[in-house]
Amino acid sequence: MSHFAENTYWIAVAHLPGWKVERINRFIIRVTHENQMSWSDFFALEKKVWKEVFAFSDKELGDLENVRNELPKLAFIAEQLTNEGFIMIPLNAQEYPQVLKENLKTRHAPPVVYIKGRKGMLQEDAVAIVGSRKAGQAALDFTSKVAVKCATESKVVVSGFAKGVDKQALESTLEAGGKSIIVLPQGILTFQSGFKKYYEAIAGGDVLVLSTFFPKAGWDVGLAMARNIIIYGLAKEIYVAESETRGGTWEGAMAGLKRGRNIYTRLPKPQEKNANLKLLEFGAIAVDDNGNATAPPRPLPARLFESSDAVGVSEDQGRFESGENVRHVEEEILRLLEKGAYSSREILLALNLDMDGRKISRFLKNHPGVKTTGDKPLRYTRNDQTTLF
Amino acid sequence: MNRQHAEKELLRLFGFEAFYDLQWEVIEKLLAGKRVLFIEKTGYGKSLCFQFPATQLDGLSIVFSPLIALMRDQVRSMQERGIRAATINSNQSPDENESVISLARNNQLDILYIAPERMENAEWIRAAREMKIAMVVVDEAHCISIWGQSFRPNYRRIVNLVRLLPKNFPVLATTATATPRVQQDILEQAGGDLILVRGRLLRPNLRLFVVPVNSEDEKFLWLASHFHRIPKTGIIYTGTQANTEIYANWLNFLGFKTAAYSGRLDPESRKGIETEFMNNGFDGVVSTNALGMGIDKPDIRFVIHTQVTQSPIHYYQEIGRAGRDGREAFIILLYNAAADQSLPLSFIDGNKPPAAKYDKVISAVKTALMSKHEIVRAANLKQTHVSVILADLVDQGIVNEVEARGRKYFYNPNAGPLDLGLYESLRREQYLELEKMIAYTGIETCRMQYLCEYLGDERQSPCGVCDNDSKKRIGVVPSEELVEKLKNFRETFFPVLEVETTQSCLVNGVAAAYYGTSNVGSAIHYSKYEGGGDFPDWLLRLTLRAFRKHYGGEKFDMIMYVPPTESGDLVKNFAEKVAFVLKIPISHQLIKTEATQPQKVFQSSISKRHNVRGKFGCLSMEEIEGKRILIIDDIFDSGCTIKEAGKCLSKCGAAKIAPLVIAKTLGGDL
Repeated sequence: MSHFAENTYWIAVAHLPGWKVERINRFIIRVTHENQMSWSDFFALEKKVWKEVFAFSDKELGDLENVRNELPKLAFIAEQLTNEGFIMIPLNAQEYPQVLKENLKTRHAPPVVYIKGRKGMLQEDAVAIVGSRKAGQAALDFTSKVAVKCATESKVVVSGFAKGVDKQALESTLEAGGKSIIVLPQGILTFQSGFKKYYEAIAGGDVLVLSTFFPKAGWDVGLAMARNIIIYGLAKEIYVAESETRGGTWEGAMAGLKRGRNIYTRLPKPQEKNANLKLLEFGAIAVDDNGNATAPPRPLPARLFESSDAVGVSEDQGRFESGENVRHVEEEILRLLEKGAYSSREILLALNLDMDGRKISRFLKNHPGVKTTGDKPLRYTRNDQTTLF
Repeated sequence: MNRQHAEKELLRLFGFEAFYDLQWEVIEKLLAGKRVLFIEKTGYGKSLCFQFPATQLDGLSIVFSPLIALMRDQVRSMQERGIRAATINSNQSPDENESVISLARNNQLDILYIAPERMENAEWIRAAREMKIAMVVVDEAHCISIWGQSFRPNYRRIVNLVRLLPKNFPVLATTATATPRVQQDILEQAGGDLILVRGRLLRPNLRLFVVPVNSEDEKFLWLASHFHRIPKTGIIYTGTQANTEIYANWLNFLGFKTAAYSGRLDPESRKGIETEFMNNGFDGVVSTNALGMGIDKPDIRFVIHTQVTQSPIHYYQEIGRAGRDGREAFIILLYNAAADQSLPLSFIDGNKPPAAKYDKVISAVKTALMSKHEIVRAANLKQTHVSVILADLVDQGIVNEVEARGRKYFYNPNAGPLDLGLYESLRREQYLELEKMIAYTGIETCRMQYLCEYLGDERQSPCGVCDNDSKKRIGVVPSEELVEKLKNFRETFFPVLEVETTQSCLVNGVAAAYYGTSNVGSAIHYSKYEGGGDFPDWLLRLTLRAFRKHYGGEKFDMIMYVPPTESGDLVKNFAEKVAFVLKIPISHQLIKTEATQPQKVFQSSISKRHNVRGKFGCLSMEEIEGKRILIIDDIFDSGCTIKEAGKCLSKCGAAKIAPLVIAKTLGGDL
């Protein structure tokens, strides 16, 4: 059985309607890895065998049966992809970027990556430059500088083909003779104008276009959000030019911080209104306008009080041992909550605490000086009484 | 479904009592979701092997077939039996095709015939994704293989589709012409899970003859002495487009009714000839191998080749069009051992352009996303070459065809280096095949047996009806009378210039000779490029004869000539002489408004057209308005120059523009 002939099945499996990525990945691992089956073998099985061997729920069986009936139609899409020179890289392929598996794990690694361009680029060191669609000039200049730096260091720049920082990253990289991966917020078959515009760079091996979505899917907010995680996943280093407190950049950066990744964030000018500082508070690493590491603007909240001098200042190394008992966790938390409302996850991140989330929730709920806000997820802040202290 | 039950259905739906054993073997496998390659001779009933399952399977069966006429006829007869069949093809209007597609989408069709090139149509692909498809059939499956006689690059996408369809999805590939090598190639390309069902290719009703001749003239003479004795109607295959005209004219000169047919004709004329041929309106059609693919005529009574084919498989395919009704048909090959190998050899050698041209195309493709036309211009190569090169580059994965407002070619940055070695071995193989075809002309044993063995059939008993088996020879016995007749014909045959379009008042013109087949070409070359002075008077006399033959007593108000690019006043002087003899006033009003380059610099008609487009002008419109104009030039090649001049004169108000040239090149460049 040739690898090529499995492509139709991969399309079917990768985009099982209503299945989360993690569920799909576990399913893939079970069939292709644990049971060592090809998809054509799997889909040749009868429904009752599926039920017996894999113990699928009735809902799952229904989904699989539906997708089996769709296979002839999907064959036309697989054929079009092949004919037009798109490459499909499934999770279990050699060429699947190792960095995606490492960064995103089973939870978020895309089951199939669709690309057009020089596929070797996926194995090269990549840097993500992310930021708002409405980024200011300072952020755009920063983006440009980081892009040029990447080009001179022969690193690939990953960006998301949105307005603002994304486009700037791409253009500056190409101008500097560098290489770039465009991660699409849509299916790869719906990017015609882009292929035309970047034809020479793609044909010349300087631009790689990548999508993880159903090939015919049009642009969609949901896809644009989901695309961000792929950008973070592909990159070894992540530079944030400008973030707002919500949206793709913020979510992606927070998720990255949670996984303990180095997020280099541009130190904003005092008059700038954005969430870069907030990211720095949560553990992002400050960099100057040229993308070089710099000292944080002010001590982190954890060090505002009393014995904070005993704590290592090198926050960017991100390593605290909770057993060192130099930390007054309660005070640190209360200090932080004076500044606003934070979820337990955000608190753990901001203070780099190695604690169980439920434990801290319990602690906060019972703390007389803390109140909860109605948001979801639940956020905590100081109650008015205690702020009188 | 068992056979008994199936045959009940067969009787009800198709009116047949029973399946042949092989038919049932194939059908049973398809109904069980298997994939089959079925090799059987023409006329056996291969179509039933997919038509029947199509009526039984839940969903739509798609039949890829290059034979539009065949599709049309099969669809008609199924519709008459109440079976939900339809076809999409380029001969139907977009509206018709659109309504067929919507039937297919709504599950209201059982069987849909489409041409393989439809897979290159983005709209079709879009629509197909919404259809419930039950089976795919690949008719004429030998077109998949470059080792066959009629490889078609557009089958590549069908092969890909077949490989990508789920494994338990029924697929049928059929062909009547596959050597063991082609068979192997089809099996491998389809992904290795096709089950082979092979019948016998022997055609007992075809009577094979070889007529050895010693010259081209003897072929003409043989036709003159034997054509009236052959049952009608049938096809005379020639090796070149020019020869279709010459042979058809000869047969008509002898009093038969024939037509010349080739890919050069516009679709309307082609269709006209096909229809007339179907209705037995001709004694024969003289054609290149272009005729046959579009014809579904069971009672073709003869196939004559005036030129040996490139291989026995080409030959078997072309003669296979005769006698599909099972009745006797005559198959005759006229062969001149001294000269006839050069044409197939040049086909084989000219099959692939030299490596440097591949490089030119690759460099062009890297710079921008272009269509084939744009590449032809960017690389300045012949269109035929660019087509071949692009097909090869696509096949090797060096470029991809993409749909971006029309078909464009996308360079693949992952491509490996171009491998021309494959084509070298293909060429060597083709030399061997040609040798086998030449051997066919010389064997003294059963000819049908020879062909069938070549095609990989089990050993057959002799056919008993070929010239070798029946010991009947039909040689050439030239009589003085016929020789005289032929001489007479040669002196009065003038090539027609087909330039009539709806966009100008141009009418079809005439040339005094073909450029390459007589001393006319060298005489022109001597004057034009070797400083030989004016065109000689014998060319003038010949041209005047062509004028008289073609235009008869037609009246012209004015003679004009195509203004020169670089050869000075040769054409002007020539036109003045014609004007003097015919006593028609000459006008010097047609000029070039902008310099052009010599047309021969350009390799394709696309570039040639571009070179002359909008470059003609008239000094005085009044002089031209309402006039019937004879326009003179020396050489007619792509026709671009004459057409452009015609367009200009039409705009200026000319009533009629009639071309007269000294020589027409063979084959143009398309």
